[in-house]
Amino acid sequence: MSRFTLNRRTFLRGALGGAAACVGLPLMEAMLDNHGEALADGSPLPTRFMTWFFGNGVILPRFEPAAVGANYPLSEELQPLAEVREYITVLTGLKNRCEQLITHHEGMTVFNGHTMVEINGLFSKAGGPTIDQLIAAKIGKDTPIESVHLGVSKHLSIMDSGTTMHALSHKGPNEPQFPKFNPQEVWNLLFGSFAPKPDDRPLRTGILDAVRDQTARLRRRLGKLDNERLDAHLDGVDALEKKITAAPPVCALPDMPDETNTDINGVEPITAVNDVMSDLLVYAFTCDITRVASVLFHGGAAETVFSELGQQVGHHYNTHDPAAQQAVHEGVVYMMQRFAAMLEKFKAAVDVDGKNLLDTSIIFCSSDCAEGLTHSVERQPIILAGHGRDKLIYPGIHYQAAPYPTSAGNTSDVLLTCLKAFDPAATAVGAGAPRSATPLAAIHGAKF
Amino acid sequence: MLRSHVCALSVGVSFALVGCASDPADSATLDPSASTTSDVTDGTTADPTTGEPPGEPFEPAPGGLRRLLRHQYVGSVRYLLGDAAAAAADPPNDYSLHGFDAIGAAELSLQASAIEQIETSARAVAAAAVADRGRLGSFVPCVLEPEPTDACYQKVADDLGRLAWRRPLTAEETAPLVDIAVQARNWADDDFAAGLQYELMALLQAPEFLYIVEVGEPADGDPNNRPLTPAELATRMSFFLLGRTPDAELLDLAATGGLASPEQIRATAAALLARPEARDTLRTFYSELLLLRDLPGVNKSAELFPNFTPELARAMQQETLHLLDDIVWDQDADFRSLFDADYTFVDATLAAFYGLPAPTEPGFQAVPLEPEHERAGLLGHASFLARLAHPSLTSPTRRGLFVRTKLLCEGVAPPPPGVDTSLPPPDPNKPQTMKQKLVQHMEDPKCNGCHVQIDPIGFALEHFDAIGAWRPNDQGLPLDVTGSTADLGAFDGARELAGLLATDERTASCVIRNFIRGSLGHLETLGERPVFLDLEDSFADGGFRLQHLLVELTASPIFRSVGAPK
Repeated sequence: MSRFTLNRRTFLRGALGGAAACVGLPLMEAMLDNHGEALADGSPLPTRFMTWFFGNGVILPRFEPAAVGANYPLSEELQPLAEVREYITVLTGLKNRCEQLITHHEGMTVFNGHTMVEINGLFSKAGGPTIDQLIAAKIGKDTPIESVHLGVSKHLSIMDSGTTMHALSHKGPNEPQFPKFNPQEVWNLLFGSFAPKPDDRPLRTGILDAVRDQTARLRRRLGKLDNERLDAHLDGVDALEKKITAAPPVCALPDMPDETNTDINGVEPITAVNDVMSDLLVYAFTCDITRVASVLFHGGAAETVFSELGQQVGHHYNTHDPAAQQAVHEGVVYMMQRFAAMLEKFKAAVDVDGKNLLDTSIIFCSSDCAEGLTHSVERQPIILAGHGRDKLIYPGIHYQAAPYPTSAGNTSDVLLTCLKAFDPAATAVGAGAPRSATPLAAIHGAKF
Repeated sequence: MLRSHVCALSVGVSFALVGCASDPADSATLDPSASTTSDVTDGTTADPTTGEPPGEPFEPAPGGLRRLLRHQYVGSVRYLLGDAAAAAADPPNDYSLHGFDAIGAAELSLQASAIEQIETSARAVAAAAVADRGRLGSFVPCVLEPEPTDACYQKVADDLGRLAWRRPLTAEETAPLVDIAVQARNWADDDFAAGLQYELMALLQAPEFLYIVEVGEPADGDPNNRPLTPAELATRMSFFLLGRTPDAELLDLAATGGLASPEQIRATAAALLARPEARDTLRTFYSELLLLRDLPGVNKSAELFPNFTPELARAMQQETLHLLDDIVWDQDADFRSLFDADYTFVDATLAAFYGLPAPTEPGFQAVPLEPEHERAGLLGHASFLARLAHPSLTSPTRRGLFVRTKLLCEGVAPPPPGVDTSLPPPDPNKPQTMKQKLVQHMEDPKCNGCHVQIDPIGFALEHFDAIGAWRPNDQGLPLDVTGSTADLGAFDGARELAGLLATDERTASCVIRNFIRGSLGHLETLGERPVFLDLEDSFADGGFRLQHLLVELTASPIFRSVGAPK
């Protein structure tokens, strides 16, 4: 049993006495042990992981820094990250080794090291679990919510179908973890169900027990695929019970945001939504409600228009117009500004032991191609933000795989490095050509 | 109807989904989830050039679980518990596969946040249903009594449970529901309503409510051909035609052998089609297929198209749905006129947008479309033209691809690896129309295999801008709306294209395929082909009337049976 979860039988005896009040105790006093080096129950200090996705690549000559190593110069498109630059490691020149190229979909392999499956025209499903789910399987049991999945721009691709381009996180081909785009729904998911009044939690867990029995009867009549679906359903039931029976967070919870991610006169409120979502993530991490997240900022091949830049044409459309590459560049800078805005909130947030959230988190950021104009995945860039309690290198570096311009360096090596930061026993990630069994030593931190 | 060689060819090809580009192997697998059956979708079991081999056996698509779609959940709640409960319902989102939510609902798993949303929705629905017990009381009168006893919880489990789970519940199944109700009553100081609320929550969170179970019973010991049980068939018919759980009469009919023969099924289906919910269900179906649902939310350049308001977009949706209603219900006419009708429906907003005379009365009215309007049928509807365009530019490729995949049901391969999908850079001294740019693009041999089949369809629609308004030219340059494809032949403008599409045999076939995909939740399989060909004939023999097709589809073995559970 995790520390936030009461033993179920204990809970059933005791919960009717009333839930603990939700009080605004300072997080450190409530949660830390006397030495400040572990949580009060002796478990290690929490480290968080997040993926952050932006669609349609960058413009490589304006994105890749001009020199490698520490103290690398920020490029034009990385300039927005100046305020957090010591926490930024940029990886360039690595090859996404996906075995199938159908435009955009293959780029998503950078998040899981698997080639897509069930490919049919512009349809595909993710071929395997994404890195956030591998890490959530390792650390998600310690928090009321295993992982949370958010999106910012809701105008995803209408020409692509399947799960690959419409969810950033996947547990498997039929288990996409779709993002929520409405901050109010995210608030409900993260904070809405703690400390119910009146406290009916034993009744709710009783219903869930009945669901388990019903599911057990049903599954005998079904085949393999549907049994896998029922397994996922039961995982969700277990997750809900864990959340229902979790002690309420000891930190003060934020109020529900006003923002609902509604377009006004054709303008999508991307900056406002990004800011609110970032605030919610900071709360969720510092309150230790979850330790794993994904953010689908802007979909690959999406319909999104960066109206806040005065653009009239979709960013994806621009990437395919050689005459619009300056607009593409401005779009990339704009996306990096939004990414930076979130990272700056992380840097300003105080974690349980007084460090900031970039000290205690690892954020893996990439796209669905290197450059949208060509859909190339040869030099697909990755940004790592935060060092996760010195698991990754700090201050950050620019690592460039050699030789230029096409190396055999495997983007999945970065995935494995991240996975080993949370699961030192991990030996490989992915399958087939994109598989990696070789973590990238150049980005190991002092405590890797 | 005498089946022509071309028709058989198109079926063979379409079932095998041959792509048009350089690598058809990528697109050969039609339905991977069905590959566990003996279906072979690469065409090796049937010679696509000669049609079906003699004696080709019918094998239904796999059975199993299909999650209730949102509209089916809400429709069921409305039927079971009333309008207030339906208004409170907020089940998890639908996510489509292959363009249809129903296929996603048959294949994808629910994520943890969705399970929580199921609980939240059940709580809200149950609270509303308990506060306003009229509808529930019509099925279980004891809930309306002044002081019901716990025995009433048993009645709810038995009688409402049967309607919600679409079959009788066993004592083993009702006992936990009643237990939950009694515990809740005790917890709430002997408040009957509290017990009722938690009992309803339990009923609505059960997998038996959330998933339609279709596994049938093996016929003659063949595990791959399993007629649906009577209750499963009644359920499938009700969700297909009415979008909701079956009512007591239909379940009774099924239980007493009233759905045993095709004739009985036809008569029942025809009776269900006469209900108002059938219209709503068909509107829901076509709102998904024709991408009408999210039209008010699509991005259009506010600078170029300040008139593209949500109000206008909703009027565009309604135009298409009015024409659909008129053809299917009011006229019961040849459904293919959806694609080439020389009339349409406009309100004042849309009439102004199209440059047509305003209707004389409020709301939508039928108006004739003259040749000079250059519009006919769906391809002249602003709903289609605006949805299949970019925020500021037209997209002959998107429009053509939609016609290929959704109206002709053809598969199209993705761009080949390494291709530069960019259009040629503009020369400021030589402005080009969209068509001229694409024609130049089509000269690339890596691209033209597909684009010569796709883009010319869109060229015929170039008189309609990115929100579907008529335009005399493209950036001041004259428009050439002629085009041709190998299969459709030559056409000049939208009306000629519409005429060709309406009479193409693939169009009628695709109407049927879309119901299999979007209602039954699977891509059609090769094993279904023998029966599918019969359905094509039946559709034609009935004058291509959609009501007739829907009745015939329910009576078809494709509808009445499933294969081994997936």
